[in-house]
Amino acid sequence: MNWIQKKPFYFIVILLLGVLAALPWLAVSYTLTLVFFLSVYLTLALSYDIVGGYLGYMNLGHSTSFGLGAYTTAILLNHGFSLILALGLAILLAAAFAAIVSYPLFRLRGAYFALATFGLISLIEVVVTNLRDLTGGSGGISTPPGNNLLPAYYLAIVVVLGTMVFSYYLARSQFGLALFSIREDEEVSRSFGVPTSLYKCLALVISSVPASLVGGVYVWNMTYISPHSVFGLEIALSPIVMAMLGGTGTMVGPVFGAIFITLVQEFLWTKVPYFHLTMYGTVLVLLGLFMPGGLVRTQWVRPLVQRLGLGEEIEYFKKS
Amino acid sequence: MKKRLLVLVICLSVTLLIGVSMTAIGAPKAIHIGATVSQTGHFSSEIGPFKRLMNAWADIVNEKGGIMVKEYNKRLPVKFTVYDDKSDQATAKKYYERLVTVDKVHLLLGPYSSPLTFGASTAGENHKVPFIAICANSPKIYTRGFKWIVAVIDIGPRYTYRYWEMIKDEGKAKSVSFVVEDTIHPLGVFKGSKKLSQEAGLKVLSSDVVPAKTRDFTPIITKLKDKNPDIVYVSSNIPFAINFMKQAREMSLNPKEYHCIHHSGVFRDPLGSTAECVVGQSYWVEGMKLGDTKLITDVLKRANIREPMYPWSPAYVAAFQIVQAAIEKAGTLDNKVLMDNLKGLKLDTVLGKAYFHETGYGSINTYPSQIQNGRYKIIYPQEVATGKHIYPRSAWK
Amino acid sequence: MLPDLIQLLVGGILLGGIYGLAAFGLSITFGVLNVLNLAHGEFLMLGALMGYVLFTALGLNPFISAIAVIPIFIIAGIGFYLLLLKPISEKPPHQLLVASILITLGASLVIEDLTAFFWERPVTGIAYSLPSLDLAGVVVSSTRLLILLFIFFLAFSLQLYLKKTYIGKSIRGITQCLEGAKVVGIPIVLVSALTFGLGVALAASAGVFYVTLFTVTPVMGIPLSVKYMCIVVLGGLGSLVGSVVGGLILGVAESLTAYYFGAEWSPTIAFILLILILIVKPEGLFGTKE
Repeated sequence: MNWIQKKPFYFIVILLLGVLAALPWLAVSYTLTLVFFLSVYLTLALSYDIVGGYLGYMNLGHSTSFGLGAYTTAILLNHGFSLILALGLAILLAAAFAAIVSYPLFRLRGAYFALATFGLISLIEVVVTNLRDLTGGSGGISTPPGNNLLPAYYLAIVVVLGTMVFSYYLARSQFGLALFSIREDEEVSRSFGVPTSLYKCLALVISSVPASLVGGVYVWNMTYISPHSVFGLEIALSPIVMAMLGGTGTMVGPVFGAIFITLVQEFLWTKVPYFHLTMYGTVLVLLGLFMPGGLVRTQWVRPLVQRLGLGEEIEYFKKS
Repeated sequence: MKKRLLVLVICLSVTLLIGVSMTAIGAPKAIHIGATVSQTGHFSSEIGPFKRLMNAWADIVNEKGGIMVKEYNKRLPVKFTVYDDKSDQATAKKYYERLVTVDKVHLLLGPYSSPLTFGASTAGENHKVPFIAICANSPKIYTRGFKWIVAVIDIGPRYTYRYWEMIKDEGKAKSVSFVVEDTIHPLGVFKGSKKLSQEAGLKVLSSDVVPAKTRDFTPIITKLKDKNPDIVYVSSNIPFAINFMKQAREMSLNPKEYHCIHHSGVFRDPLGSTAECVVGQSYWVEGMKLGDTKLITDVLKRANIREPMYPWSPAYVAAFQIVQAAIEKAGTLDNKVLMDNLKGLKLDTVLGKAYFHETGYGSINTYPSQIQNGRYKIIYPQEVATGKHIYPRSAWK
Repeated sequence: MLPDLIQLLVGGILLGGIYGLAAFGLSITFGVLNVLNLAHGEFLMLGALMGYVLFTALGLNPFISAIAVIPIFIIAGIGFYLLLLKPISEKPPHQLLVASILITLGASLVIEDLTAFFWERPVTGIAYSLPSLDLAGVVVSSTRLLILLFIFFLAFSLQLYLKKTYIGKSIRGITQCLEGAKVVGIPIVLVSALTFGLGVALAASAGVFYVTLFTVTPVMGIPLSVKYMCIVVLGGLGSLVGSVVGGLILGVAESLTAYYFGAEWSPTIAFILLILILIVKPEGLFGTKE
């Protein structure tokens, strides 16, 4: 795929980046907030998909890393740490937690794994709530007040773009190939010499990094979080739905899913006074019935994505 | 061909995104108030239908011609723009930003609960739009040095101060045990009440902070039966309290008094006779001698909302009155003038005297009310009481 | 201290009975159809609301309502299955998981939203209670005891049903080997739909008891679904006895933890138990290795 054929692709990318960079001057703070949350959710969807899509283990508890990152950052910021240091330590904590928890969890498969990871969120939520001296308990925790929307916006954009690029190269690396092989058939993969336990643990740790990072950026912008807001159902399920809807197991899938769902939700919530949740639920049901492989695997979007050179992983989806 | 189509599609989407966030800017044809209501999510059981409440009040005011704004020398109608915040912080924050920057409202009314108000109030503060918090009484909201926020109600720890005054006056109760739901509001009320009870001369025998989702209270009630306090004070939201009381009855826990801070009709109905003699807190009860309650009954009737089911509705009505009074006093919709007038307001609302403290929190507070024969009676203070305090309660067998 | 301990154990077992009953229906659907059904809690909630209506409008005793709702919800469940789940039933396991989450989550949101809009009461409960029994200082809730007996009876009769009747054996056949079942000529769609209907009806039945003992809100469904799925996994997929036992164990564990460690730690015990048991025995307590 030489670069002359990719010229329109690069053009689009540069155009988009330009718009994103100039958005504070082109639009109001509501739009910035909207794009900020879109970036947060997209980062979560992309990082979820490393384990959920590439590795094939549905980690419904992905938001645990997000919440841990958010709380650690909040606590450190309140103790006077600089943002960079706070974020860095938050990532380390979340990664360490992911490493520890991967040993018991990866003994499970399929729906068992999904359920157990989902239960993990409640466990951590309870623990965080109970350590009320450290975390403020159910009352939540406030960070030093201030209007951080502008820098947080740019930071979120950088994080999400970085995660996209990382996910892209991961899918095309040897490590990524190993993950795909584990997904397709774990026993065969192991018999070919892939260190499955180690790689599964690595995948979980890697996926926890963008999640915890974006959790820290989130709390820096919100200046307040409560256990429910970072460990609740909304933040747990939405990124996963986005990844599944867009197309799990690919890099562009979550991107499509996140943008699609954000636009649909925004439209429903601002233009439809009642029953917007019903409509949203109906959309999910329809997508589950007719497009469970996701948007990128449909006949309309797939050729588009493949022309852009982003569609290699689409074919890898389990056919058995 | 396909590539150009793709470029076109992407450019269109980007413009759409920016476009979705712009609306036409017009001259003030109406007083535009913005708010979010938790139509969906776990707070929907507290204020789900309150969009109707706001529109009902707007209709009543507009039928009289609207609110007088001196600057334009005419009455302007009231218009609400209300979004659903899904009981979610991030969504609330996003829509308050939208209300201010896209819908360009003149005033903001707060969402339900302190956690949502933390984020929502930043929109008012950053864009200098007056923000009136309604159901948000965590003290931490008002210690951030914000200049553009006032609150209708008093802070959480003082939620039941009148009850403890009454207990102290009577001098009969000697001990209390607390059962607390681990949620921000009940926790705040408990912290204040613990101190107030000690100042009233009572001994605190035990305090149990229990997760919000707890449905089985056998262990706690077993403990309480051993301790045998005079008052069992349940600081919680309603589902928690209902479950506690049912099981307390099954296990025959018989203190001299039960206090459940939230005990509206939603609490009373599933309990039947178990709810008898339970004391709780109410902002307003039908028949109480407090201000002009005709407005409350009119608005509720118009909106088809029953107060026993949605006990926060009177607080919203008080907020509407505050908005109206502030605009009339300021004579203009200019942000700064409006905010200054809000802060300095002293108004007799449907729930009593409203004024705002330095950091923004309000003065309106609840009264102790007891369920007697299935009806709610305010039992203290004398000036507004509609019944007498029954103490001790009749024990269950 | 001993009387307290006994009280806790009794309380825990009674609580576990309720858990078991609700998880019961899920064990059938999850075990047989391999569908991660997030909508299970919605049917529990709907059954609860129907129980409320029957109690307040017709004065129907909850124990009768619990049986009365079963036929209605079998039909509802069959409809739900044929409309939403049958289309994806032939998909490969990974896609099935993804699709079932999307569909059942979407369905849950729709049910919640519509219920919240049309049902006026934000919190629902019924004032029904039986006098408690006092056995040598230990208070036993009669309502919960009856529920426990009800679910034992139900579990027993369902086990009989599965072992003896044609439909029952068909269900077990489908669980054990789908291909074999097809070869033998079992009407897969019919039996699957009926199974789902049965599972959903049991959830609704549990819902009637739920509204008697606790309170019900339109949005309680999804967290409940997750909790009961954990119980089913704990007890072992495909084992009805397992979900009952799992529920009982959980009830006792929560009760003891709340008393000895403090109530704030009792929600953690559910998950810790689940993880421990799954590590030691990945199929669950009574599950069979695939």
